[in-house]
Amino acid sequence: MSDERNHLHDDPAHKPERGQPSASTEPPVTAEDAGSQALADALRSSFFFVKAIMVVLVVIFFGSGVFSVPPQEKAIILRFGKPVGTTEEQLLGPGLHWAFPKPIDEVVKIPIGQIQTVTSTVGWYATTPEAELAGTEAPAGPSLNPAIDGYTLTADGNIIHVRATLGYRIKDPLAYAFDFFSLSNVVQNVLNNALLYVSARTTVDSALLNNAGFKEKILARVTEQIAALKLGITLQPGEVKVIPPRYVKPAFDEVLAANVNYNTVVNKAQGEAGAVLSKARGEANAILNTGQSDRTRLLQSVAADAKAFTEQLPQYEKNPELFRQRILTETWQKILVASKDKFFLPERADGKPRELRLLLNREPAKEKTETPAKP
Amino acid sequence: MKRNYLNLTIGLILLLVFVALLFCFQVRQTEIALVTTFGKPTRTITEPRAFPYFKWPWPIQKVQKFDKRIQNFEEKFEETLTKDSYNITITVYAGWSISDPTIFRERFNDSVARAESELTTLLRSAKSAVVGQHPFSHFISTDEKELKFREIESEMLDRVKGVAKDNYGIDIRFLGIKQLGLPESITQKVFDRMKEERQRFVQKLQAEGDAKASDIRSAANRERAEIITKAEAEVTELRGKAEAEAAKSLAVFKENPELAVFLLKINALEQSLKERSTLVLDQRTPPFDLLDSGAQGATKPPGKK
Repeated sequence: MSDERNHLHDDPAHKPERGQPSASTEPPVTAEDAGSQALADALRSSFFFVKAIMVVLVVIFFGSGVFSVPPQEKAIILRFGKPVGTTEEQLLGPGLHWAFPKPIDEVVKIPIGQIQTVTSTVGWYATTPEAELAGTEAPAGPSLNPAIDGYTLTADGNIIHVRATLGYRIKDPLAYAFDFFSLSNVVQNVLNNALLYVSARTTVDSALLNNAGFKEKILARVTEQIAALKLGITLQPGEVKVIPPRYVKPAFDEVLAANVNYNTVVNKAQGEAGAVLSKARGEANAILNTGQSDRTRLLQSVAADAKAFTEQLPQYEKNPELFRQRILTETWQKILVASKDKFFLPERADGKPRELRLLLNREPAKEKTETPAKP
Repeated sequence: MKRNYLNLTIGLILLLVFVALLFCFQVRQTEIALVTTFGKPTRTITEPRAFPYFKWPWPIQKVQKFDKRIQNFEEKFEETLTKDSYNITITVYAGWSISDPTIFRERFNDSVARAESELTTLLRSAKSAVVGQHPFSHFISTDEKELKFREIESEMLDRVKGVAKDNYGIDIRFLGIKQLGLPESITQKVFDRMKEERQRFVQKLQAEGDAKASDIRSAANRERAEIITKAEAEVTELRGKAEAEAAKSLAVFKENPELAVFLLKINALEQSLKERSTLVLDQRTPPFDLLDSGAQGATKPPGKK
């Protein structure tokens, strides 16, 4: 308790006349001292409180240096405004850390693990994401107002709408935290610039049809700018959307339809060609087969004739006239049995030829051929 | 007495802190500090250090701090004329930072807004001057050599960099074009042209499709003709070979040509009258010559119906 009393004498240095006597001698106990005694007690206890509060304040002061870094972030300590340590050590990972309180140290947190995204703002017509999703966009007018509608010009002087969304990560935390007032705005402008730059050297057809190539060029230009401006970030894959102006979209759709039609016409022709060829092969096979069977038949019949000849030759040689008559008569018999109508017209007595009139109703008459029956 | 020492040190520490607050200042990594002595700039500090900087207390010296980070600057678009009198709208963006706080303070009294409005004027004149020196084909072209995008940007930067540094105490770090467009009336014409071009494409595709289809068809027909011709040629060859083979086996007929001829004729007669034919006969045809007194008979030609 005397500690407090000493404190009482030391601290108010501007009141020595009251503090010094009480420090050297015991206060005399008098009746009227009861009041001052009470006052001294009150002072003593209040000083105790003041000191306790001071201790608490000191604890709070040093305790306020404790801070935590959430995951996905890193922190840098600035001591008297200057980053502490080398680049590797500067970064404090997630967890609890301690730094000197405010006027000495300052903690700057950097979202180093997060992928930040940026979307271009100059290439798309005036719309809102809500309207786009709901499909309630205002119809396209016959012209574009440069104050509200964005677009880019292609190398062949056409207009296209382009929208690019890129992701990026912080590679150089110092550049991100201390070199730029607003890095995301710079990245956005660099992206906008890349859209113009790439459109200006790409034809409308190549921009619309070769999306991958268009995107690659944009990424290349952005990467180049990032290096030139020392932005200290690395690019993540993003997406690039390219569409023709809405007002002329029907004309572009017609070209697509014409493309489809072209393929249809060509495919149809190819199908027909295939059919023609397979039919032709069929015909060719039929011709070959006929040829083959003709050959077989010819050979067989010739062989049969030859065989018949060799069999009949001995009989013929015995008596040729008799053989001939026999064969001839046999043949006539066969013919007459097989024939449909037979008319017997004996020769006229006077030897003149008879006149025959035929009524033809089914087929035109075949030419009459003289077939000598007998020599 | 020990207690007194403790109290004394506490008092001293407090005193030191108080003095330090009066005599020291620190410069943050992102700041640039200007020390003024009786209102006159005497010192510029651009880099932070690991211990505080010293200054005389106010009213002798005063410290003013400026943000030295790169600020973004974007201006409003406006129309301007190219060298070949094309009307285009163009917008540029720039990144700038305070390089000389003395000049900056004098000029703008550390108001960034005022600095930016000055920059707008500066950039605008540089922009129209540079655009006026380039034809439209330097902005957009299918020919890589014709494009002067980078050159245009760096020419603009060159024009403003010196002025900004000397007159405003501002360092313009980079400059780029962020928007390039045409007046509204021109976009309408571009749309019309685009439509016409698409129409041409459609016609071209139709013509090409038809041409290709007829090519395919005629090629197929030609091939078909070839296939058939080839088959026929093969068959002819086959027949020839067959005839040759047949001729070999017919060699036997040489033994008695008369009989051979007779047999062939009989065969032919039988074959030709095999079908339903109508025969008109007289008494000379065997076997009807038996009905006649004459021994010799001759056939009347039978007529087939």
